[in-house]
Amino acid sequence: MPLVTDNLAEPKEGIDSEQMVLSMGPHHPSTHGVLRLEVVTDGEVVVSARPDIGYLHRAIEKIGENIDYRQFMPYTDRVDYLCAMNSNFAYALAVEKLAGIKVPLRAELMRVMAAELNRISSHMICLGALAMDMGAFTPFLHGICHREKVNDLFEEVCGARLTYNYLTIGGVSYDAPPGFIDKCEQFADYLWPKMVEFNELISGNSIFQDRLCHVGVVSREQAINWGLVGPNLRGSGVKWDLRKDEPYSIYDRLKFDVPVGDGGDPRGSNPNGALGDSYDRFIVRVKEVFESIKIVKQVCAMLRENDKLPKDNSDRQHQAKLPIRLKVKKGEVYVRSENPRGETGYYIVSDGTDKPVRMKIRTGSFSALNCFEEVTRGLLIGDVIAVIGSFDIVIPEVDR
Amino acid sequence: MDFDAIYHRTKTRFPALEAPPLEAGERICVLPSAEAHAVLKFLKEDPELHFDSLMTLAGADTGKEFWVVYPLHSMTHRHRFLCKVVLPRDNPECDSVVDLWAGANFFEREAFDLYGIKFRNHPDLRRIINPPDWEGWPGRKDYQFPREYHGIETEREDQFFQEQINRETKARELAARRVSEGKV
Repeated sequence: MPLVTDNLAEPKEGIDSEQMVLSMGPHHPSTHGVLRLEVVTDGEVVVSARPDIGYLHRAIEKIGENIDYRQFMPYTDRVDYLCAMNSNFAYALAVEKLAGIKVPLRAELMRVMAAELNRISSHMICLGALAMDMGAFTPFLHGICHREKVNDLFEEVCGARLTYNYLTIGGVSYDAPPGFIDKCEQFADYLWPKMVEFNELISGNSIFQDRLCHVGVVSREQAINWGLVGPNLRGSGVKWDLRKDEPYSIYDRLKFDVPVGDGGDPRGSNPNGALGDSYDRFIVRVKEVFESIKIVKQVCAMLRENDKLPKDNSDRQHQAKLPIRLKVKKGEVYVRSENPRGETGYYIVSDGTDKPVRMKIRTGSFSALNCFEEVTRGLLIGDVIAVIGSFDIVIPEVDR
Repeated sequence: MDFDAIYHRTKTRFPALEAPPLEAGERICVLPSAEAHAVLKFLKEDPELHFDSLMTLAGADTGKEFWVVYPLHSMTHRHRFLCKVVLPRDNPECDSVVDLWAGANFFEREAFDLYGIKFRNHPDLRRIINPPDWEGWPGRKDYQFPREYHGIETEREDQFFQEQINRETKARELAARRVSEGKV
């Protein structure tokens, strides 16, 4: 990685620079929540930026050890409120694997639909906020506007707009209301041209590219070693998506691509940058929104097929039949699923009672902050903001 | 490779490995705590296994002993392997794996913060989620929540549910005492 310091002129004789500690956050709009950075600077150049976390710690893991498996579902919403459906999904998968529950087809379809719509709305915030951090305000408003449509759909299906608590262990809480599939299809048709417009508005902007290209470069090997996940890993050119490579639910029946970063490739989307820079992480998310729209359309078609089944068919149910008091066998499990911020893993230890012994939640933003100090070394202060935005760090997920 | 193949390949090098039978969930391999680092190094560097990615690192308290769990994954061979180290309740200590996977840094700090597990050779073992002057290890089963912190009272009289709160607090304290006396 070329350091900014390499390009700086040698200090003139007799003029000394002194290091200064700058406390960035915890209440700073660009740190995306209550994140504090201890930045040691030498002039404008960052010597080290150490993240200081824990301001939003709510002991969710410990709460999980004191209540039973079903009661924990609303807490998973709060682990990452920008993609509550996906957090629900990861937890439900983990408990179902531990308890050996089979989920009916219709529930799987509704789950994938919810997860992909939520992925779109989460990426809208990330992309918009990154553009806003770089000084462009309009894309954020566009993103919020599209996200509102997703929230309306979710309000219709489960009544909530942010923390949905929609997925349950063994299925989903409610079946699709009348007209829901039509509205999802309309939304997919609406969003595709809007995303093309969004892409033209910001992705090709040369000022925006200058701010992100060659900033915060993470190589392929570093990304794997640091445990980066999701779009951050794919931005570094690693083609790894759990939906494709370790398919869970019904993802193996869907057709979609896995976009990866292609910085430096003259035919790619980032010819001016380097592989694994902030722009690569940005453009991977833009492409993922298009892939999610494709999935939503396919799931709509599958739901229509499913509608034709008789009502008493087991594939037509939205909930598996389960005992009121759920008991799981003694054992442990680590299950992960692909969330907008990378894979979310639930490690659950059960001792055969109705409460887990240990519940560990592994999230994408936590490992993104792990390598933050190394990635931002030698950058300018303004570029630190670009790196936070391109890693898509959400603080409740870090602190849990 | 599946669990059995990976397990047998590693067992020929390190005979002290164990894989307890399974009731539910996923097979997990128990590493001897003395040579845990050597086994993990073998798992990472052996070309047939090549576990280049540490999915997570979790500390755990079962009430009797501590665990450090290493779910491993290989990007090149696309297989996974769960292993754990069992540590005694008094003075839990094990070797850090930051030299193998840089991603372990924050996870080990978290395990230290919540369970008080000391990781030898860790570059920067500090509290991460709790404030630096916090007392006790909040993840442990026998942890007692402090009554005050820097002059801030953590308990308040509840207008409606005080009796219920008292009952629950008493039950929690009893459970924690039983764990610390080793009766669970």
